[in-house]
Amino acid sequence: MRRPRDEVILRRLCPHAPLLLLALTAVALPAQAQTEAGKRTVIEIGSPDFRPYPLAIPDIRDMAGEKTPAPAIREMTDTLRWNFDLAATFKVLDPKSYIADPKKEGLAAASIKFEDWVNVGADGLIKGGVTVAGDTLKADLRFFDVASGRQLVQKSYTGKVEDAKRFARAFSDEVIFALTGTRGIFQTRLAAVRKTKSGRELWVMDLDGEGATAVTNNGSINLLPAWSRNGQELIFTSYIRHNPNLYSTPVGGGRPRLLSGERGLNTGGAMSPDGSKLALTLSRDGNSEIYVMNADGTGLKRLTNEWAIDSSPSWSPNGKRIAFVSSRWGDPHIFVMNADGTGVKRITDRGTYNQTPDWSPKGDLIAFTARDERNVFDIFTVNPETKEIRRLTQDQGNNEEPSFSPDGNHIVFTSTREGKSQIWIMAVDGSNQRRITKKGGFTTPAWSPYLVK
Amino acid sequence: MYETARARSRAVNRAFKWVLGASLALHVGVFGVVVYAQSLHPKLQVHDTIPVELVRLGKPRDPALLPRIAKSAPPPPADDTVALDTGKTDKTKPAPKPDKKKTPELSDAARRMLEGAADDRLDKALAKVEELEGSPEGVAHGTTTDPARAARGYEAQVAASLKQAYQLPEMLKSQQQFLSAEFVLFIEGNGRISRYEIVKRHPNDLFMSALESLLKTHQLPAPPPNLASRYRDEGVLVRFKP
Repeated sequence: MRRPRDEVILRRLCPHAPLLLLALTAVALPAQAQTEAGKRTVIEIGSPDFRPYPLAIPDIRDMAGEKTPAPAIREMTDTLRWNFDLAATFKVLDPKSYIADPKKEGLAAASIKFEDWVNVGADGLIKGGVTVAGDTLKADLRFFDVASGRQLVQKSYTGKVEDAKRFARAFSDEVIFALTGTRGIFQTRLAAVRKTKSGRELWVMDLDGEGATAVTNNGSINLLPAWSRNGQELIFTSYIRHNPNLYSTPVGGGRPRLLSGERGLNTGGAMSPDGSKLALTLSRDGNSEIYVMNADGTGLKRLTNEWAIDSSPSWSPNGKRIAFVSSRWGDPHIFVMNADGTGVKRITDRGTYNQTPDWSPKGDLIAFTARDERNVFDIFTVNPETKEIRRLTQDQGNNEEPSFSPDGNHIVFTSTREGKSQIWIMAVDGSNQRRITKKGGFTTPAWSPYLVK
Repeated sequence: MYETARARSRAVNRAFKWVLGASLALHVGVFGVVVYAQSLHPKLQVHDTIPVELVRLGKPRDPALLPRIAKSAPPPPADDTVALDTGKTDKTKPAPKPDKKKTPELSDAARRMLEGAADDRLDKALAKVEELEGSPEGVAHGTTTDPARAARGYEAQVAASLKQAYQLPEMLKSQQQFLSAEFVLFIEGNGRISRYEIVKRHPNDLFMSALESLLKTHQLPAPPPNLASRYRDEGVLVRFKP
């Protein structure tokens, strides 16, 4: 039987290590406020079948007219294409199929021959021009509706050359918002644990795996990162003081602040959607139970009281319920309870080892890891109302520790399908799976909230 | 001792013969009654049997197991395989003649009904039935008395009415799948939209202005009288995708 590798380390270091088998928590994500319909009747008027939106992204032009565009310009084009490839609602058309000559076309609608873009099947067109002068980069990015020839988005950015990717991400979010009315995720980040020679450290990185930086560098074992609501801090469990205590630390680096230092396990810190409460798992009374406390560490209150192991709390987007793992009925399964500990309800009744729940910011799904009949771990989602389970990964190594994007449309997870444990992203229906990291040794990823107002 | 046992055995045998005879007579009687009844009443006639072939299914999957993703679709058929119905007729072969034998024949009951159609008695009978039906135009909110069912029926009508009335601007066709909005409708007893509140606005102004102009002028079906106050005072939240 395979065990999560964190367990092996914790078993050696902690007297309560067996309890940690269930305490590998999913990280609660910040959530968008849902439309509160209250008791009002809701009428759903549906749309026709979905089809990916065909989008053409020709090379960003070097406005200085250089034959070989600056690397930053190339990066900008690649980032735009990568972003819209990730969003499963888009289909980036193969640049080889473009018949328009982007060097002859200008950026303004009047200078674009839209028939050429209609003929390659594009519904949308992103064009851009960049000027690099020394260390300064000026970018003009535009998005057009091909059928009508209308310009829907136009943004100008000025900054340093190394900001090229950041500008491309910001513009991608603008296009997503203009089309869908919901915020894009391209300026969010990922946190994860990385195995080092001396222990395990927390790292953060961009969605494409670039810009990875270490948040902790204490040579100890740091585990289970979760983002604070404002995205400025990481909440995590660390053995800095030889007991698995709960800390928070600034993402940009800084001195960790102790949140909970109770005897035994202090894990699975998950901040409530309004940022006022922190749910966590403590074993101070000898058994692993779910507790909740104020964000400043005061007002500790016990929510579960069972002989079995309860762990891995994850808040619902409205903060009224908490999903968690419990073995009170034998095998570990996903349960849901009210935020005050009442109304416990079992959500999964299939599988024998379900763990690491993460509640979607949309509220309609809980992602979790489960071990199937072949003794392999895979990612599943369950509807907390209907209890309908859906498998997202299969027959590709072990896939674990799901964490939702803030728009609820994507899931980050770890997979061993290419050998060592790496970070992957997929759409919420399991499609469009892609590896993010280039090296192995990453575990327990956590998707940040929206970081840009 | 032996004789006593033998006598008891004879008595048992005699009783057994009587029981066997009575049972046989009873079965023959029942069978005779069934056959006789069938010949008298057409409804009781035995229908033609339909030969069926039972298909042995695989072992059912343990419901406690986690679901698995279905395997990928099979490869496309080879060239020599026969294409199923493609909607085209093969001109090299004559069209098959309709099989006269397969023309459905009228049952005795239907024939009797048609023969009696000219009869005045049938007209009177039909007239009586018509009197029991609802109005020819029907009632917009139905005749159900269950409030929950009535509400569901009415909300389905509202959804259909809005869906049908909204005309997506031509230049938004390519973006249709991304467009959505949420609004609360307050509906008067006659179906007029007294006011609306946009809960979630889409950034596309063209889409929103087309939607709002619809909400300002559109006439919805009248709600059921017993639910009118709910739709007038509480309103109904609509999640709209064109």
